[in-house]
Amino acid sequence: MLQAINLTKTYNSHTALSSLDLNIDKGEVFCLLGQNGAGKTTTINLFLGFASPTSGQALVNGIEVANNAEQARKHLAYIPEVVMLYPHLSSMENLDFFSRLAGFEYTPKQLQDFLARVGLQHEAFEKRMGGHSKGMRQKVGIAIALAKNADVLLMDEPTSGLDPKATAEFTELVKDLGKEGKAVLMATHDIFNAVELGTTIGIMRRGELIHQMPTSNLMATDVQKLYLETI
Amino acid sequence: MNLFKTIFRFEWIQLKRQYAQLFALALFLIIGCYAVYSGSSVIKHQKTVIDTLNQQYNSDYELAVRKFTDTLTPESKAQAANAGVPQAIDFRLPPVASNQPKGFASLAVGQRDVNPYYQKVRSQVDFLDNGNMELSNPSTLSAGNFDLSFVLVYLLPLLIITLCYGSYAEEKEQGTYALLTIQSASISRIMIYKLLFRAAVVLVVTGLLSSIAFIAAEIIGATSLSDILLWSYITLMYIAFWFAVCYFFIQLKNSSIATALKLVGVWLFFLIALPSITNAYLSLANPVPLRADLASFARHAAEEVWETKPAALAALFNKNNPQYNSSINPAKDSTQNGQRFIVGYYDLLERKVSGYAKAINDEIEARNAQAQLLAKFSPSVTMQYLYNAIAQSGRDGHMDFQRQLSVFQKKWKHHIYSRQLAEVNFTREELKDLPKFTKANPTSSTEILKGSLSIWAGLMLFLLLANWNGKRESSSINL
Repeated sequence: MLQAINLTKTYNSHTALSSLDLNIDKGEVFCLLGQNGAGKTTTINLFLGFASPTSGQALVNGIEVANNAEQARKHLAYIPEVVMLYPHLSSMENLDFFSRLAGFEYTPKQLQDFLARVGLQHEAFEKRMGGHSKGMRQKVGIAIALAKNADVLLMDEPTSGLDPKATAEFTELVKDLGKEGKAVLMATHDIFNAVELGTTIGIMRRGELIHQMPTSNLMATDVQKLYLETI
Repeated sequence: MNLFKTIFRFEWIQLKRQYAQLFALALFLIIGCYAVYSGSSVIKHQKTVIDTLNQQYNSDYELAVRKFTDTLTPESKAQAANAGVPQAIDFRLPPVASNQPKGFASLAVGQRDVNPYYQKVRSQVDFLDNGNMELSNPSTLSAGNFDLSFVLVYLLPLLIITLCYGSYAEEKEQGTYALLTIQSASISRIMIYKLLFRAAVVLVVTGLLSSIAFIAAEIIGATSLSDILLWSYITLMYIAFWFAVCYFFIQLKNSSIATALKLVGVWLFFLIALPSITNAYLSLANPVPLRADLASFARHAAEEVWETKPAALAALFNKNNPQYNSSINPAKDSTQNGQRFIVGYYDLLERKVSGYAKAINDEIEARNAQAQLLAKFSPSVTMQYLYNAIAQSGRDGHMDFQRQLSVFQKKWKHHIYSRQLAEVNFTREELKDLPKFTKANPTSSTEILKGSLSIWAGLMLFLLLANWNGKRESSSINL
């Protein structure tokens, strides 16, 4: 569902991503680990079409993003590190608006269900976003991604700002999404969480994918050790 | 269509909750209403003056009629005998030629507050009256008064800028742009619909303000329909022009502050700087000729004509005015007391001075023609010209009044001269049939449509530039 073929991105003389080959299938949750500047966000931005590759291809469901970004984005949902929404609209209104943009018209009950599923307190449903904490905004952002019902989810440090309980709920949610057959690419710094929810882990360093391994029979401490050795 | 409805619905919800934008709209409406009041006050005063003049004329008419029959005292009896003398009628009952304001003049006062809008017509022309003074600053005059047209020409673009400058940049600055892009719909279509929503808001507010103005100025009924349509057409066009300007600068994808500054810069350039530059150029290239020379020339001409021998002056008058030859009386005409000397004096003086005045007027006309040509590059001056054209309150409306006045003055002169030279008095009954001035008020839709072409050209230019820039940047989105 998500495929990178020899994907490279350079900014002037700096190589942000070097010859990345990646394949994420249906039901796979791929967690990208790496230091700041390792190329995780660049990889996600290339799949989103927010940046053009210097060489190589980024494909979503076989559609090359660089040539047909709008078409490719129809198959994508995205949760950024910091979700920013319209401050004058409530959680429900923001969710309704972005769902309608994606072509989905949900009933108020369905919208409430999405918000409840991501763990947003009921009293925050009708509250304007301007008064929401970062964690609450993040939850609405996740609800928006869920409501789009896309085949592929791209997440850039999505648990940033979430409290431990919400992080745990989010982990279960992503696991469920994987079981539902979604392909997930998630950039994160949280090794333990990555091992918990991911089916595959990749470790990046200076724009290169150094290690790639399935999480089955893998302990978080092993990954931590490998990670520290790699970076 | 769904996307269109979605954007409109949620933009409306957000607009209702953004007090700064609501305040801007309310302020615009309040200022607009005051402008309607201000424009109406000027025109109401002019209507009162014209009504007073007409009442005075009616009262003078009653007095002139009474003089025919008042024979109670020897003095009044003597006056009754001379009540119908043409010179006395010319003195006592000069017809009032007034440039009656159209209803739209309240909405676009134009130059009505500086140009004379009435004149008491006599058989002689005074070249030094106020109506013949030079208009020394046509660009400033073109800029307009504080009336509805001023609000629409100068303040409406500021409202449009206030509503639009952040429609793209704020999405980026508040971080919603990435999510908008990902939710499948075309981001350029979303931006266009957002602008269309703002255009709808501006149209509603402008429509409301115009309706208030139409009601206040009593512009109602089928006779005003074509003018209402023309007014609405040019207002819509101007709104579209400013949205095209905003669309172009939004397409440059700068920060909201940079976009706002650029748009305010364009506003300053088009509406303030360009008319000033035009005026400065005109003042250098075509300085205003001074009419002070005309006063001196008229005095010398008066002395020169007065010195002419009566017989020669009468002969010259007869040659220039063969229509009065039936009343030639050589014995009387060769004296300074003869009617032909008096009439001939004014006729020859008018011919001499009008020749000199024409040269000055031609220079002013050339300057104004050049100003009008340069005005095509200035949206504010063009729009004020178009509004004034509908209201007939601009320079063209005034010149039209002057032309009609001149024709009427000749008619009146002939009416008086034909009796004065034949020494035949008016009867009491004939006073009813004295010529009356009525002004025709045709609005030239073709002129207005032609005049609007330069705004359309500017609008198309900005749309093409925006489209070109959009295509240039459509290959990738840089967040």
